[in-house]
Amino acid sequence: MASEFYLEVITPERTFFRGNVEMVIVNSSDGELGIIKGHVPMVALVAIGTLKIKQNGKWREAAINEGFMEVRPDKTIILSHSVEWPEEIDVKRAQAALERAQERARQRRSMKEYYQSKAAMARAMARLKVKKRYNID
Amino acid sequence: MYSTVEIKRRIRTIRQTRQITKAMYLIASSKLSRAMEKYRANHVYFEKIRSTVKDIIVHSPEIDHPFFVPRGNERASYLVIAGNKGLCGAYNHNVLQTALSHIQQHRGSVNIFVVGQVARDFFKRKGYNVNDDFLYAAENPNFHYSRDMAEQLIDAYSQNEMDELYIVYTHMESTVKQTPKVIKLLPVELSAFRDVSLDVEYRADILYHPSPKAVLDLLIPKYLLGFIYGALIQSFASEQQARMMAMDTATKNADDMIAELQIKYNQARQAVITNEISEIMGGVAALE
Repeated sequence: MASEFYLEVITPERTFFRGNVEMVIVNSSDGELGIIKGHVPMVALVAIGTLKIKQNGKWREAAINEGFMEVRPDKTIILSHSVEWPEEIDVKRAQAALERAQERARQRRSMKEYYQSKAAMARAMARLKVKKRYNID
Repeated sequence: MYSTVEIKRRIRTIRQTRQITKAMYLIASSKLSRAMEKYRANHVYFEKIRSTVKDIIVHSPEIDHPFFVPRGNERASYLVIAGNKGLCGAYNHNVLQTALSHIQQHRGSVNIFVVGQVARDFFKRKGYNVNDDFLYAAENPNFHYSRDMAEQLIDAYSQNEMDELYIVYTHMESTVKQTPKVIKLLPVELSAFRDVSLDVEYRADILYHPSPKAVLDLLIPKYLLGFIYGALIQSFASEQQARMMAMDTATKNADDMIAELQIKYNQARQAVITNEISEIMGGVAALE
């Protein structure tokens, strides 16, 4: 029985997740970052990608937008603009967003827009990835 | 004593006004329930992001980052959030007076970003430098507006167009109590978090991953965005709450006035009848 810690995942529009978990893995700027009970206090960037939560011995995955994670002695908090379970992801919408972003990136207007479309592309791909994996399982 | 016709006309006009206030009450209450839904959903994030940022400041001995270093207080910018319309009790007045008294204490140049037409007209009339790029955000606050606003404000701050950034909004303490607040957003200071309590006290320095600069580069814009979004939502909910109460009072007042006038009308009508009868009786008496 692995020891547990308290995790909260919060977005501006809802409380996505709250409860005791055994482990959580996020993408940080330089690869995956896993947290288990007793981690030293830390603030870390969360990159667009997959959020993995292990609860009661089972892994669940969600698509997560850019944000950050605060690891504290009492609990871990992840704040992000949006987090979605696979069943909440609209494949058609993500696909359309991906194509739109690719089209925008091709036009190469300004650096700012380039970064924006790259971020939009990453978000869409993260959603599609999570959705795809979930459907195979 | 007014004539019956005059009283009837007054009753009719009051009834029409009452219909309007009643309708506005209903509209405000339906908007409020939607706004409260958003507020409840956002509340947790709003409080959490503030306590997280405070926690980070408390546990980081010295932060050497552009968003934290004071630049003096020569050029101040204000983001003032008020309503698009009046007829909502003291809501606009309270938040605008709070903003004004804070601005008047400031020495040096002032630039005001306004949300809501009432705020724009108010500061224009007072002769301030008003930027109305964000005017549209008063109705239907959403995340996209907030993102545009946060990005523009951060750009302006990064390009050294201002020394300080304040936000003035109406804080929703409970459904019956809303108070206007002035909070300093930039540079980030511990004093802006006085009303935020930390969940847990511990003494340790925080580890930053991958680096303090990288984390704060992302964290502070997110904090501003979260704050602005929350402030828009709370202001909107407060406005609807205030309008609902004002319109409810107006409707009740109209009811009272109609009841009073109805009595007056009955008295006047009775007086006319009594008068007529006594005239007829007088006529009959004269014939006999």
